[in-house]
Amino acid sequence: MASFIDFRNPPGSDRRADNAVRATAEPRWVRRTLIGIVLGFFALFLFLPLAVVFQGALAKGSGVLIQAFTDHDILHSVQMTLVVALIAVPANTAFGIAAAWAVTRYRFTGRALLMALIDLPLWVSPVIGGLIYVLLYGRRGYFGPWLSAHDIRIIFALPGMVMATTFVTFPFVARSLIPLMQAQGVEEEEAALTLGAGGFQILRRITLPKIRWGLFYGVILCNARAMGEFGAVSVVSAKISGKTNTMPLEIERLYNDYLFPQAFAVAAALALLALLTLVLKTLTEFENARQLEASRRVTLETTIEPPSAA
Amino acid sequence: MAHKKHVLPGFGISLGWSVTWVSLLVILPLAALAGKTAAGGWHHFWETVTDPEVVATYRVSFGISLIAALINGIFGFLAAWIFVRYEFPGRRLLEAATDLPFALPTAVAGIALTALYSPNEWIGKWLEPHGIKVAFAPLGVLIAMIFIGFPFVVRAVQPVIADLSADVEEAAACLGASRWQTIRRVILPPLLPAILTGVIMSYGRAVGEYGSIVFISGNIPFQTEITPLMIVQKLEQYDYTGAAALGFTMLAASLVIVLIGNRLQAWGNRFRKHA
Amino acid sequence: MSIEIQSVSKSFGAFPAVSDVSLRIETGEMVAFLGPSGSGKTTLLRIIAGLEFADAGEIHFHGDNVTGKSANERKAGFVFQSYALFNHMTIFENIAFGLRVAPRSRRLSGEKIQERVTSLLETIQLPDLANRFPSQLSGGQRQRVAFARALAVEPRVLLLDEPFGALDAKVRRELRRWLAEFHEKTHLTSLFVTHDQEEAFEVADRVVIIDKGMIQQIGTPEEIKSGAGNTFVRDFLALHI
Repeated sequence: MASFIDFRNPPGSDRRADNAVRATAEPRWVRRTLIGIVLGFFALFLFLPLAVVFQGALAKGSGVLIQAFTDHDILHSVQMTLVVALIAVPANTAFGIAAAWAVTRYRFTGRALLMALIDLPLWVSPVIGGLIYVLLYGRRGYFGPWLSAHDIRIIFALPGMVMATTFVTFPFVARSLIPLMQAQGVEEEEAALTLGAGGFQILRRITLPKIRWGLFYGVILCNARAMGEFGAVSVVSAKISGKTNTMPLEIERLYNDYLFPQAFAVAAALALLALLTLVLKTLTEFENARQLEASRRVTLETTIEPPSAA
Repeated sequence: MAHKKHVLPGFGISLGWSVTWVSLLVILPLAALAGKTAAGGWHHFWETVTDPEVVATYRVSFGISLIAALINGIFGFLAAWIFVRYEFPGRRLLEAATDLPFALPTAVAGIALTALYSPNEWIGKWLEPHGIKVAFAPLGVLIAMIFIGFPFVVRAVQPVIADLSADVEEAAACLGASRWQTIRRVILPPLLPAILTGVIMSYGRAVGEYGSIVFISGNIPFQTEITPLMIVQKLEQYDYTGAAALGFTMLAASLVIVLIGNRLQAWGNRFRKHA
Repeated sequence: MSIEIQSVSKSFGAFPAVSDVSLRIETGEMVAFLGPSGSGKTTLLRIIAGLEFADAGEIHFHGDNVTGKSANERKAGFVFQSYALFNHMTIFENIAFGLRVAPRSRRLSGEKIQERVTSLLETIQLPDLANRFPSQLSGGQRQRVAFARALAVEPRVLLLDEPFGALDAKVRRELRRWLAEFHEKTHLTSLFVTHDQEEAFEVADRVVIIDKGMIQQIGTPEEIKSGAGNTFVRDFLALHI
């Protein structure tokens, strides 16, 4: 049957068929050329920039590296990045679970609007993600006078950086959970309900184990963006090295001061985080696909109506 | 609407929390954006968004982005095609690497691309003698925009290619179509909406991009400045209403881009089987 | 325990799924809801369980008005058409689930739970599969686990949605007999939904024929087979003879 042909191994990839011209596969030279072009594109646009970062970090020897990561200001930027992520990521994880639960479990007025608002940070400029908080809490913002009268600093301080980061990262967990929870349906939750389980018992014992890979996926993406965000944070940070600089902002400072080896050292640390994120993301995608496939197989087996169905 | 009881528990707490969060993080700040824009008055708004230096940034943010998105459309489609259809060593590695621009912080990408294309560096030193200037020139902006927009097209097109069933291609072949005719008449038409959707998404991303561009562009007025940079500059001068006017304009532009993308996606889905 | 359904109605948007249904099920009875797909029989069952809320009407369990109560308070034993086993838990943990989530004051000790689950595994004739996962079981085995899980909490009523719908003919007959014997022994008030009249007539004490959200006929299998009833009932039965 045609639909069982594995596209990963099209007929043309079979060595015996190599010389025969197949109707449903390109000739070998075409395949080779296309693969070559794509490899070239990846090398030029993805792999070379990555290589430059590590080369730049290691070029001046390990002495500079050690010096960079014992430098007070750089260490402080690492700490700032961790603090910001440590607040923004758990907050957005909790929000993501709540939002995905509400959107996939119930129909209510304004549901489509809520989903559109969840997506918003994905398509606006990150600079706007900083700007809107400045307009609210900045010196000449709406709450500015009140805040300065009470000696509360949000913009150019940690709270503003956390807010901007939370804004640009809040879609990730919700967006990874919504399609997953939609696909999984609510039957297991309903079964738990008829067995006497309450809301939090259902969440803890049924839903969270079911979505744990999707949740993990969302959390690592959210974290990668939180630790790497530049545009939004640069607008709300005072950009004072050793005080309000996160790692990306510190990269900018070092780079503009022509401290290239140090700049690339910090960049390499973030690049490693990006690579780790990609590895975890890929593994999670495999696991996700496997589970979704498994659950689909179970439902297929069990929902086929017998031929006698009216 | 009358109070209606929901079967699964947690409606109040989950929706309440979501709405509170979205209100504090999005709705209230966006209201501030609209408010500050309006506070400046129509005249000020118009003056800000038509300022010659600002208008020059539109050419970069909206024009060069478009070229980058189209280039991504071609290479993204090719990449998605070979990922689904061909088996070759390193395919999985490339597939995983596709998302690097999503994962790599923009500041890191920014200094890496700058280092790569600066006149005395890796690629720059080969281009310099031929009079090709990349870093601190519009071409550098283009390269950065290609970098950050690439994954969108691959991710939009790949599942659609995987969904194509082989039997239509076989049918076309049985009816006497050559491979090229089959691709042009049978395979590409249902893929086109997905490719366009990817191009639009990649365009939307490039329009708003900041971090990876400001390093390589050199921020030369009337040449390589981007619109988000104008917002940052206005804020540095405490010109809140000016920044708000530009932010509002960009938000509106992005909204239009997203709506076009959604339309395209809906249009494309009409070809797809309903599961 | 008896169940009383009083003028229950429910619609989804503009589509009336259940229209003004009233019915009384006596203690110890085994009743079948028989009807074509889309007739509203499953919706009615879900309303009884508390998995849907009726737009109008009341549900009484043995004189208690449970209309406003949620499913976890009603604790009707519900067996889902696709079983809805917890795929991330072992068979043992699936069956033990209802016991583990009981309020602390009523929760059994670990040993008691062990005892109860083990005896249920014997009842469903799967004593050796305690540590397997649902995906490792056949359809018929999963079905029996779903029964055991529902029975573990000692429900006052057993509700089954197309309990044999997804099984092949031979396993279906076996399980049908097993269910009939189980009911013979326990006399647990039971309601099941089916589109298969042979199944309904063989297992049930009384059959309720439902179409377009309304009860078309109620009677013992003999009464219904004797040919009474309206045009719908005659057409529906004729289709399957």
